[in-house]
Amino acid sequence: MSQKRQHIVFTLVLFVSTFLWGQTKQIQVYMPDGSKPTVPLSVSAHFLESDERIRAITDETGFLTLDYSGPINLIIDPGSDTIDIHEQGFGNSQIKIDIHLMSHDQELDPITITGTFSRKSISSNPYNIRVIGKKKITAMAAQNLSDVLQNESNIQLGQDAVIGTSAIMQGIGGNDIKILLNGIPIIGRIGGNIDVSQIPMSNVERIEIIEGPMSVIYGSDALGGIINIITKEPLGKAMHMKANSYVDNIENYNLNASVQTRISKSLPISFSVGRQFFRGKDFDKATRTLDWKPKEKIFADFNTVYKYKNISLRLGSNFFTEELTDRSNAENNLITYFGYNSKYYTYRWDNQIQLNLKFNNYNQFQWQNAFNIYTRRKSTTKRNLVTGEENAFRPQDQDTTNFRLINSRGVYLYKAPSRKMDFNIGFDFTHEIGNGKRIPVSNPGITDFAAFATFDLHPTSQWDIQPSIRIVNNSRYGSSIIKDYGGTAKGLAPLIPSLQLKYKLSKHLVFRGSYSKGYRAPSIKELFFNFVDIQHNVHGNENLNPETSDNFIISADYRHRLSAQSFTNFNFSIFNNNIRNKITLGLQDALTNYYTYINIGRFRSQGLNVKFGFKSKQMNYAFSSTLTSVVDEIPQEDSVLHQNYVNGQVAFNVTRKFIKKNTALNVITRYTSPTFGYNEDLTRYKIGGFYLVDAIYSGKLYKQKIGYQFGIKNILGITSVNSNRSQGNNTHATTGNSVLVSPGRLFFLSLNLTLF
Amino acid sequence: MSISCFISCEKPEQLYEPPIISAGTVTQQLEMGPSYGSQVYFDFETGKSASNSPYSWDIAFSSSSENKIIINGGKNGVFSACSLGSISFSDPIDPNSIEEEKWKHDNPSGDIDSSAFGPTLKRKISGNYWESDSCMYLIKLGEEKDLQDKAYVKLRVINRNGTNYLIEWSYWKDKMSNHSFIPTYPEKNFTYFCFDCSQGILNEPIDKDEWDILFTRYKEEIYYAQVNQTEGYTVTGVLSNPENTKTINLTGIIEYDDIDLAYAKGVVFDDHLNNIGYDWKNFSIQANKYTINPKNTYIIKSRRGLFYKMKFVDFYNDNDETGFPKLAYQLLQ
Repeated sequence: MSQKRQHIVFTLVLFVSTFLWGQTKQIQVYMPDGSKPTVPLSVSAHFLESDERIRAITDETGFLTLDYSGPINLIIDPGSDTIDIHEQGFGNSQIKIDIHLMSHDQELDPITITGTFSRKSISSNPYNIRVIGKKKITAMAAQNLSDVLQNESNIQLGQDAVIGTSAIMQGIGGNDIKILLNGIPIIGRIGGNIDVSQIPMSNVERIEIIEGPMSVIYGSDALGGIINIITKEPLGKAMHMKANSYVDNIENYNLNASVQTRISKSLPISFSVGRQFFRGKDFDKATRTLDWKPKEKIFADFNTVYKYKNISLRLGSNFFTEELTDRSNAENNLITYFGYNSKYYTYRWDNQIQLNLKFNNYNQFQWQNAFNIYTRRKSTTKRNLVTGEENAFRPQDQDTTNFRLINSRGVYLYKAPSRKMDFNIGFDFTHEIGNGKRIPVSNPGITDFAAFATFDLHPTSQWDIQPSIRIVNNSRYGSSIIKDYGGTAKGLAPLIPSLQLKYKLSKHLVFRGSYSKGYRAPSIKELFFNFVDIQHNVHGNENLNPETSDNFIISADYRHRLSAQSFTNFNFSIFNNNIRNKITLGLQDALTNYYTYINIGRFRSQGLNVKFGFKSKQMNYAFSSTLTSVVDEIPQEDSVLHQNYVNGQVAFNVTRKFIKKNTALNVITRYTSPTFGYNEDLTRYKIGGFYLVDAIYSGKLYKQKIGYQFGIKNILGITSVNSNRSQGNNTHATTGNSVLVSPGRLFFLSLNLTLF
Repeated sequence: MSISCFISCEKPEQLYEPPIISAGTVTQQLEMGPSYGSQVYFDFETGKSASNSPYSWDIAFSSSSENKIIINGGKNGVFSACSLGSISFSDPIDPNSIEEEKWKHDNPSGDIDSSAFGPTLKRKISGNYWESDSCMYLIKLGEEKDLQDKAYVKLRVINRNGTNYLIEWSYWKDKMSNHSFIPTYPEKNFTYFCFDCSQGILNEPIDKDEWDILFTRYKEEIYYAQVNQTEGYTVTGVLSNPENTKTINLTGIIEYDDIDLAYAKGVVFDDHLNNIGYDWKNFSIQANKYTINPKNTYIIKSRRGLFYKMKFVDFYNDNDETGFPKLAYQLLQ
């Protein structure tokens, strides 16, 4: 048996060819400092004789064995970016190849895809983008997106016992935050919000967050920012199975399992399934109502990637269902006790097909198609609490709402050989329709067709100038070009421009500045909603104007690897949003309780973000803070009413690694300052500030096959904060004196098992 | 651990013990109907009820010496009246130019000074003859747009001679006026008048000595924080018989079971007709249904001086239709 040892050095811009021969290839990957990696690396192998492709993963020390004869073209994927390696090799027997990485520093400068369609590192991305990787998601023992976002200082969460958890960025929330799954919008907003607690983290690779309008790329609803959830791709191992379980003292029982395998060497598939059950939490045992409602979530997803030469076809399907039980208080009619049980069923089925045609190193076409289904069903029963007899309550308490989305986005990407100018040009078609008891079936839905172009100019090695524009034709609001075409309402879809500037002062320090126009067409619900009964009188408004906004962000980003084991990063940004025609639900006639959606005057938010991080071999510190000032300007008959308030968040995360024991202790703290707002009577309300502290201990056993985590979340046991916010909007409104924050202190244990 | 994650489910709810009913308490469910198409008169002594339509009349004239005139605030949300002063029927008027605050409705407490017409028959000429202040009133009927001509009525009360009221009225665009005599009857509280049928109606299905409380639709002053003022809002609630029935609202003060005769005799009643009112039920927006305030408790002193304690226990019938108030009550002895 002969061995051939080769040291291959490559960078992102310098490719070296490698043709490997032999029956068994043992490949060892080294880090730039000569050490072995501490995380698995993704490797694609192209068997040139048979033209088959597989994807494999090294072990945590960077070692990989491939059984195959003939030449192989290896593609190493450090995190996300793919790099071709070409080097002539010899021999027909077992060989060992050492590959020394000098490529991208994934840990310091993660790879992103949001907003650019091609993979770019944070430092080379003109957008000021935040990445939450799988490692961090795992370290915080997050079970759903809500668990992740609550540890981010630039995001504020709102809790509603039935509607769920909503996210606010830069003081902007509701319909203005777009949540994407692999670039495709997630549908199904209740009260304008996507319930972020309905998005499980079990199959998520990373989360990319861009603050500020991204309408130029992602269209309507991306006024305040986007949260793009990137799921794992199947790797192509012959068999890979994992199972995770999680339990805690407030009776969360979570379990998920995933299998990856391959039908052929060029057709890997993955399948995962999971269940999350929460038994509910009640702080007042005297009442029948539970403060935190019981929920059962079941989810599954399927992914496959077919690669043939320069064609890549990815098929993904995600299914999610949730059952939430809301119990009323017991009522006594002197004969018996009775109560009402409302069940809220959510069904979400998101399907995607992505085609990637890589013509050569400079020309590429991506075509992403999606069909998403969302259904929410409410079923109410009246229960005799003495006999247990339970029957369907009134027909008006049974309700089903359906939404469907068809999305097709095609992008042609051109990278100039000189690297002086790249551009993307594409189209984006979206058709969304919804119906239900309160949304007439006759509504035509909303169709949005847009063309967009982005130019990425590099006049010098330091400057990156990225102007973009989007041309929209909306079925209700017409076209930004042909003004009289299509639209029936009074607003016209505008041209949406944006300009991103990046100046790289040194290899460590990058400045960015951006202007982005935001645009949001009113939603189906805002246009067509109709809810009239003895107590409600809420109507959609077909004469709404779209929201538009201007956003400016300036930021500085410093990233410096101090040594092989340590690096530091610092990021500072300030932002300004100015939204016109902001849509809100307003009381039009107190006498008839007539509510409708209206455009209010202006909404402005300004603020700053500060982030600092330091990582060494054993310690990891991450600090971030956000301060946001919000001003609502509401025109009155002869004046303008200003409503203003300031919010802030601080997050601090410390991780201590115990290298020899292969364990780590992670302490997460965050502070949310008092939140202010205005009741309908224009009185100012305050929701108190609060601290949340988690401590999580993680480790691995048996050759890293078994992972464990245990710890305490919400150590301080905060459950609610004081509030004087009005809780209702009718004549029977009550004023609550607290707002729920958390089900309380919880002790948890999580185990994960890797079988193959 | 994995098994518990897999099989965990909601705990079945434990059954309640049946409620203990106070001895002597009886329950009665009354039918206003899902759209409140009926108003219901209820008598505690006999447990009997009678009903009629609350929407067949526009204004009503009291048989008592108080000369009270009331308008039908329960008919629709905008039903109200305003004083135009001493103008004639031929004078043109523009209802749209009348400021919103000038439109009045009756205070459901029954206080004549807080009614839309007020004590308009002020001048007592002789023992049973009163003349009005000649003030012209405009009544907003709230008709649909295609009935704009009948959306408002101009009305002047001329006099009351013994049991008969004399009024002069016309629809707001008419130059010619009508005169109507409205007789009243001592066994009824009011005689009702409908402008469309142009005549008085004996609308009360039973005599005033045969009932204690009335389940009806009426207008109540509600504070609207949004505009920082009170507005008239049509509610579904209970008014007491102005003929000697007294009520008191003890919600949150004492439990129903703790009330005995001695306690009832010790409370001080007032003359307000809306002490029971409408807020023994609350509407939950989230649940989209009414719930009964579990603390609601009242004492009724009947026309013949008997004391009853009462509470509401439901607002739905067995088919889960709203508008079926169920009360529990007990004669205190």
